[in-house]
Amino acid sequence: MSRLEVRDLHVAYGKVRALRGVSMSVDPRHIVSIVGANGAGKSTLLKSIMGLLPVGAGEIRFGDLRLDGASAPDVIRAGVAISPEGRRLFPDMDVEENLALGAYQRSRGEAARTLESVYEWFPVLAERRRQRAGSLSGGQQQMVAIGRALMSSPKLLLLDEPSLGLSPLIVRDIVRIIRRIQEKGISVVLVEQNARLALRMSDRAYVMQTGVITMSGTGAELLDDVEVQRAYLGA
Amino acid sequence: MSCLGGLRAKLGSAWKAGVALAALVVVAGAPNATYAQGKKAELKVGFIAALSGPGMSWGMGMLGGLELAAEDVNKAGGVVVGDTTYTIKVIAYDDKYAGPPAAQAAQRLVSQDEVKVIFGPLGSVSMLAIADTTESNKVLVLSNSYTMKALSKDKPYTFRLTPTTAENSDPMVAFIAKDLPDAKTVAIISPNDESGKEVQSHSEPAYQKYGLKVISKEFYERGTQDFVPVLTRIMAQNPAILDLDGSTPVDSGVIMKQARQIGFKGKFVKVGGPGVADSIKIAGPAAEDLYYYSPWNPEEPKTKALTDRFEAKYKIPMNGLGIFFYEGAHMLFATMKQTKSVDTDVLRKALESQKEYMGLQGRYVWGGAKAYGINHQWIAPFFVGQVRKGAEVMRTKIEP
Amino acid sequence: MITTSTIAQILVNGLTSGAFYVLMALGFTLIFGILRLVNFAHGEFYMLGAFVVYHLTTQLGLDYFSAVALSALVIGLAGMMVEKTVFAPLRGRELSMLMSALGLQIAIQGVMAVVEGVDGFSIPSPVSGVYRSSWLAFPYERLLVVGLTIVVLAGFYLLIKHSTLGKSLRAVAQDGEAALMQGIPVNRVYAIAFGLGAALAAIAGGLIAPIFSLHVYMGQAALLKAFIVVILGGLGSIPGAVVGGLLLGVAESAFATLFGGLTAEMLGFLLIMGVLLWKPTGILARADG
Repeated sequence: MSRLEVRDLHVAYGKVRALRGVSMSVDPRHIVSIVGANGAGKSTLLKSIMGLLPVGAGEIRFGDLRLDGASAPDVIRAGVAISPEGRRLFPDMDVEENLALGAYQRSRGEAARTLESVYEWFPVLAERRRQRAGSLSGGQQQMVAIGRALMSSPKLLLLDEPSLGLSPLIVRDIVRIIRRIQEKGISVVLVEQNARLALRMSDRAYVMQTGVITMSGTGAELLDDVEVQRAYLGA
Repeated sequence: MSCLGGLRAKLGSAWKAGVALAALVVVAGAPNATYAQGKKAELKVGFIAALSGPGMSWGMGMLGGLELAAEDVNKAGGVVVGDTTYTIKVIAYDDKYAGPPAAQAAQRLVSQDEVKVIFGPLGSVSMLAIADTTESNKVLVLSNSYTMKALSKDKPYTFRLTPTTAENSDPMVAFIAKDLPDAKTVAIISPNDESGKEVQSHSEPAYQKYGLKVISKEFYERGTQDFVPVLTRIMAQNPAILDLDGSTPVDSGVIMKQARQIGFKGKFVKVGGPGVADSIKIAGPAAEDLYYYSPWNPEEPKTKALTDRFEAKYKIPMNGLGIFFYEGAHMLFATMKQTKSVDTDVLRKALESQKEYMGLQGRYVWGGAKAYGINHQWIAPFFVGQVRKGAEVMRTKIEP
Repeated sequence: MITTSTIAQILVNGLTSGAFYVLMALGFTLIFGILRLVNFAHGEFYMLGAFVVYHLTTQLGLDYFSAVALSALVIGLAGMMVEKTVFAPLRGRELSMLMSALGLQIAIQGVMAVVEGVDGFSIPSPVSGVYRSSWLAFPYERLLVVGLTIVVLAGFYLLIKHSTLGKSLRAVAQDGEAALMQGIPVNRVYAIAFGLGAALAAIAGGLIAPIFSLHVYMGQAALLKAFIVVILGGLGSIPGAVVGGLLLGVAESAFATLFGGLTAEMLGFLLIMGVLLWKPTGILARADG
């Protein structure tokens, strides 16, 4: 069981310093949320963990592996996967091809077995396996995005804004899926605009503002906090 | 005198250097005194043509011809005019076969290099682009180019060394008509540009004069590689002769090859533009029996010596245009010697009144008064060649 | 006199030209689709491919088909190296990549002009003779090119649709960052895509050169045709390249034979303008361009 540890992370886009010394951690089997306004750096944090952005300073550890400086393929091999903001499916490929690409680095046999279990989890997708991904509804696309991430059999799943643009009914399905993922033993990092939703299901949570962590605690603690309520829960 | 001694002491080594310098000047100046009767000078002549890109083999041929002639003259003691012995120096610029670079080159040659004679340019567009600069500065231009507009009464300093189809087509078509008495129809295929259109306008009247009907005139854009569609159109009319006109040697080769492939059984003729070796290389057996204009007889000993010499120096075969520039340069230098002048007004009048020039190939005269309004066109001897078993065979020589 | 024989000949000519254009456009559109790069140097790889075949056949005595295959391999590898050294450092800066491609075009053409000279060369065709019926004449060397184009297209289709490489090419073409997020080695895919495009250009050069002539400036015309075909068919669309190529070939052949060379050029451009007015991104372009 692996623990994710981010220590004093600095990441910049050219001259813009997006992460200015972020430290956080994710214990095994935990759901950890990161809430904050747009532009706080939440997506940047996830992308940095995933190896998509160069790290200026600081450390990212997963178990006893150093992830800062690793390439995305290496990070995936270490057991981390991402369902990115905006889903980012391959629009001209069908559902099955999209899912299959999530297992790009695995053997055909392993991939086939995982695919079957993903279809079990998402029967809606099983019905539409040959449908062009670009023609799916928002909720179905989100399921493909999560399913695709699960195809690499990760130990840690990063979810970037999964509820964005989805109706409350669908969001409830998503929440159920996230809990199921946790039950399977996979840790989750959840970045969410919908702070109440995220905090309610989290074991631990962080508040991010302009590239730094300003608050941390359990999900329940942050839900009760007056500042948090005023800033993010519309109270 | 003591103050002078004091001064010398102060200046010290500077004084010594000054004395040395003065001595040097006197010594260096001395030879001038003995050469007072014979000055040496450089006679700069300019050259403009395509020395890169398409057209490069023509440009290099022209430049080589000029440079070899200059070499000959310099080796024989240069051109003596009055008390000055001139060594010919060629200053060449690449105009990339386009107008703007040619105009720039001409301006440089006139204002910076201070030439009074320019050989070239190669193409019609360049020719027309430099005219203002050269005429207003009284610079003698001895050029190539096929356009009719190159020569005119209001361009008294412009001459053309290369004969065009205006001069060649009539005698050449006459020979072909006699050689192919059963041929009654001709199709002409030509590139669509200034040069191409000019060439066609002279072949047609010549064909009509000798009893051949021009049943098809097709143009193609330069850069075309697939002539089959246009050839299909031509073949639908069934011509006995296909005239390749002003097509480049490479294009001519491709046209002949593709025409034979789609079943053309008639004869090929090329009235304009020298350089048949490339065509033969590309067309292979399809080039058999091609009638073509040849500026020289490659087997003639004096010509062969010149082409061998060119190839040894420049490592590429000599292009036919080179012969006109070799002969033309020699003709100009001879005229300078004869008139004892390098003044362009004197030279131009001398050329106009030149009865004939005997060059490597034979007799050259100035003509063209009827066609251009001014007799600034050099008329050269040439040959009608025919490809026999892949080799160039001269059928006849035509002299002015 | 336009007879049915002439019409048959027009179609045969058009099919052949079409095949040429498809070959030239295939690699060009692949490179745009994956790297978002308008490869101005594409014509030079076409020219290099032809010259490699020339030297292998005339100087080393290699048979024609092996020479074409070997040329594709060599130029493909060279293309991969070019991508890694010239374009990879400029990733994301599309204008800089464009300028680089232009510079590359000039450099390759210039070096080859010095090395090979500016004359025309001839590659002997692997087959000769003409299939002749009362209807039409179809030179075997052209028939061979049409046949080989079909083979290349079939192979390419199998690669793209069914191989792992093909899937990663398609993924990167649709969303490079998302592809990276699945562990696809995107930088390697870019290099392979460019190499593949260059190899296709080299095959086109090797197949077409025996029919026309071979010289260091032949890439310019090829690039222009590839450009037009790809604009017609849709930038980045492989089926578009096929449709665009055939359409251009047949249209040019028909116009030239029916109306003469110059009118054909004009009508060709009118056709292109018409198609673009109807479908600005090309006939088979993806909706998102």
